[in-house]
Amino acid sequence: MRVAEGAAGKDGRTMSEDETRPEQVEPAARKTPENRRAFLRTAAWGGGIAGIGGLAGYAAHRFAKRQGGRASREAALGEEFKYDVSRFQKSDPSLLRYEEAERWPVAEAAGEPRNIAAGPAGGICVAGDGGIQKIDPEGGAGWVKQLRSAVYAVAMRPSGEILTGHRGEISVLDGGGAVRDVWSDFPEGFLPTGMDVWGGEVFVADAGNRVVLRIDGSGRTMGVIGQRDPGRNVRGFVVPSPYFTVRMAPDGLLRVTNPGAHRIEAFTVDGDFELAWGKASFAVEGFCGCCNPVSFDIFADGSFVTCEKGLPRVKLYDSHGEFTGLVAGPEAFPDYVKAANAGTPDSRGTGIYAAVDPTGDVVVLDPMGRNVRLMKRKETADA
Amino acid sequence: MSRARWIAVAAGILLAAGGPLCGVERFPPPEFTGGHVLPETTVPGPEPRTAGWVDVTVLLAGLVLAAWVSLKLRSRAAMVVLSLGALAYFGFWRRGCVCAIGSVQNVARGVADAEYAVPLAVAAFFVLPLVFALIWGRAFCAGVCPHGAIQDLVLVKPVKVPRWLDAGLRVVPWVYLGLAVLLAATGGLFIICKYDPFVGIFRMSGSRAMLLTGAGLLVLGMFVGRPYCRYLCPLGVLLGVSSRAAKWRPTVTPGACTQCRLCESACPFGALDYGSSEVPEQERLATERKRVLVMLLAAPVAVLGFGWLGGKAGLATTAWHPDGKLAALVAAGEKGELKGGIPDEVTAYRRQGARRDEVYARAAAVENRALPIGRVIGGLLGLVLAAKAGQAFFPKRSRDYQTDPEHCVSCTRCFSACPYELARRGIPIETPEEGKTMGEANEK
Amino acid sequence: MPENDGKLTRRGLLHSGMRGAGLLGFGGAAGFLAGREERSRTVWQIDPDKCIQCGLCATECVLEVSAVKCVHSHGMCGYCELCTGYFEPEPIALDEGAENQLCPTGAIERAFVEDPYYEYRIKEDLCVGCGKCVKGCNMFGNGSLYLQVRHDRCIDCNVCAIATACPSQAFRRVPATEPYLLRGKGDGEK
Repeated sequence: MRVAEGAAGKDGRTMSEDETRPEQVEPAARKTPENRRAFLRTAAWGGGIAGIGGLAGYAAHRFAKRQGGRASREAALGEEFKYDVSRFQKSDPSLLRYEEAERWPVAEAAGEPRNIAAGPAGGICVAGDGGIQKIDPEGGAGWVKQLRSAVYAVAMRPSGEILTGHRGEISVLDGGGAVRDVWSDFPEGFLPTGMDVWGGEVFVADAGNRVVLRIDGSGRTMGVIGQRDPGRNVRGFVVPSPYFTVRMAPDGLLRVTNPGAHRIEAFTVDGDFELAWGKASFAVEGFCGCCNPVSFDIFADGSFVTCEKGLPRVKLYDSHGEFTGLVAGPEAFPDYVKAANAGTPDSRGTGIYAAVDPTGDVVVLDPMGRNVRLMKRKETADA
Repeated sequence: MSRARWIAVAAGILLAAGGPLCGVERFPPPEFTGGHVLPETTVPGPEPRTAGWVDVTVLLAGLVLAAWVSLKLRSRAAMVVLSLGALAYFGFWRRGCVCAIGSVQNVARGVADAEYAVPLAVAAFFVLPLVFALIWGRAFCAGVCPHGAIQDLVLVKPVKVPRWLDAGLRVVPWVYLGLAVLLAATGGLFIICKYDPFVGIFRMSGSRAMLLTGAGLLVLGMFVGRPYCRYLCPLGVLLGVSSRAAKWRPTVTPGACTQCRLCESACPFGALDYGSSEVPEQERLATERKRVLVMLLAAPVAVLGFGWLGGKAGLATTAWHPDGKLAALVAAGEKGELKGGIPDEVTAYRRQGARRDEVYARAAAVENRALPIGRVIGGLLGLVLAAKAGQAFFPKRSRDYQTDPEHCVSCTRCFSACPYELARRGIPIETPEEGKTMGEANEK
Repeated sequence: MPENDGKLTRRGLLHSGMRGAGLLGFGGAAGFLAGREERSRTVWQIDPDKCIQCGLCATECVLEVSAVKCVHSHGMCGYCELCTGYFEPEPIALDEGAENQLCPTGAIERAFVEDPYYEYRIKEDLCVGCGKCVKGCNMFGNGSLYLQVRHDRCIDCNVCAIATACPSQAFRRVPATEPYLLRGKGDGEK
């Protein structure tokens, strides 16, 4: 039997010496490689076990951290990945000039609420996907009239007639809600999202075509206001989303929102641009986001109440555009704020709408909360 | 494309074009005076993947080859080449997915959930290795599984794991299997995929924890052969049980065994059975009877005990199920126990308008399903553990030196230790010095 | 294994029985399950109406760089000069300065089209799928930015890790022939 080479060589013994010995190799010759092997084995085992233990501990630590949900997630993505507008979602209580006096629910039959109008003869009309709802603040339940297409704008005439704006047409309803007339001679893409009545004329803010139409009492378009015309110093309306409002002010000039430009512009009924006010800012004095205000109304003294989306605020400005106070801040719309923070979209119907009723109170439509609130001026508020 | 597909595409186009006409409101974009054209959202499709049947064909070919190499060709070199090919294809090319180990979960879910359809390729990945194991032994493990291949690659200095430790650790994959099946069946949570240590290496990316675990296992695998296969792999235990019934399994000797003992330390995985030739027949029979007795006595206790435990585990798994998690968070929110803001799950459920009682009802449904499933799995696990206990305390030894019917992975390493094999290969034999095997002494 | 002949018969029979039962069982299970197979291939996708932009898309994907990216539906975009998906709330100036941008990786490109319209495009190689811009666009804008799984990057795992972690369960399987759940039903339409 040939002894493998190596052992003899390492030991220094010669082959001939080995051949004379019994087959059993001497213990001394085995010491070095055997011990080395044993050492390696122990080291490997120890290292392996330590390694596994360390890994297990680290993995458990990571796993436990993962279970933390939100906390671990923010640890994984840095601070710069957080979108946080919570500092704007609080308002200074000393700015509140109005308080809620009453609240009415929007009926299910009216569908998704879309707009609100306060009639010159009293009464509140809410427009929705399903039709309109009339609320009588004096008491008694209102009524709901279901119409065949969604209502995006509503206005009330002094005679009690109700005008409803639909995609492509305007309906004229009598005081009881029966349809008397339908005007449909409008350009393609007509989407009225704001209407006001003045004299016998109707001014319609057409968000689809981004212009204001001047319509006579029989539905004929008499003029177009606001079309882009650099020669007349008219920039044109930037309307990125279907929120576009027009109101006639006591000074005889039309006021129209220009949401993309974050301002309210004044036009003559013939379409001459006169002035504008408003600035883009998340602070309470400005209009937040990318396209605000979404709706507004004008008091008898020419001052404004405006509504914004994104940060749900209903604010007061004087006739020159100076901020004077709040009707309601984001705290008054907790559902809205929660939905906005949750990030699911609803780019239709998440505006807030306000109208001024003849007594100077403000009615606010909260579509997400499905309610209409009557806001009365606070006694202690300074003008 | 098939006709049905053409019709579907045409219908899709019509629907898409007719969308705006169907009253789906969309506010139009601005009118650009300069005639600016709006860019379209690109929709890159998924890569036309090698159809599932290609993977199944490669799997089948690999299994056939592995079985042939381990049973007929009897060549270690060939098995190495095959396993490297499998590592390259199933591991790095297909990035470890679909894999036979993960398919257990799909099948578990398919059995438990009548609405879940197991893809044909996945079902094939489940069945084929098991069928081959039933007939030809665990050829899958040696020649086709990329996890096994990568561990084989790093094995440099195999160390023998003490018997008691080995027996204890071999329980772990059964528990892992039970847990994985339970979670997959009750909620479709696939933990085998999530905690696979090697798939991160195949994909060259993954969470730090899993990459470190994979690397750690490979380092361990340098000394302890195939640590994942022996002590973690949930499919391995199923293959092992199937392989017990195999008609043809790898044999150390190509012919008869003369108990020359030269292969005793030839298996790096401790999967060589031997030793009963020194034990008198009486004693061997007594041991076998004791084992059966232990198993019979332990079985009912184990089944009931682990069945109960399994039921508890089943209930606990609802906390990991999305419905269960949501219900727990909603309940905590109502008790005011939520700290650090409202969790996203609660925000999402509120935004989607789900009602509280719906959430609780869904969680209760999950619990009701999980309880019996957990009990069944627990009971089965108990049965297995009783059998394992019997095996551990009264191990069966065979007279001939043969590959362990359950644990041998068909790697063919032990063949070169057998003098008869060497004779078959026509290799002149060198007898080794003490401490070395035939294989080591005769390494080329 | 040729051993004691008597033992072989009993054991052999037992083994044959086990083998037969195993084959029947596995084969039967496979056949039964395969019978339920969905005919078409499906891939993972996000339902943008359920997504709450929690940020897990960026961290949970098994790939180092997530396969989820922001996409822009230009037909829904307002082309605003002050885009709340592009600018931080209260930017210092309405320009492309990094300090004004919302996106932490600078993955949105702003291009002037004509007064006063700007176009915003996503640079996919820089986007990590965190959804911050989506939040800004949804909260104040039209919701034209949203997250989608990009299938030239997604490796279509058996069970998507992000889908498992998604708190709003916004992930679902869609046919591979129509692998996107787009908003706005196509772009460039008026």
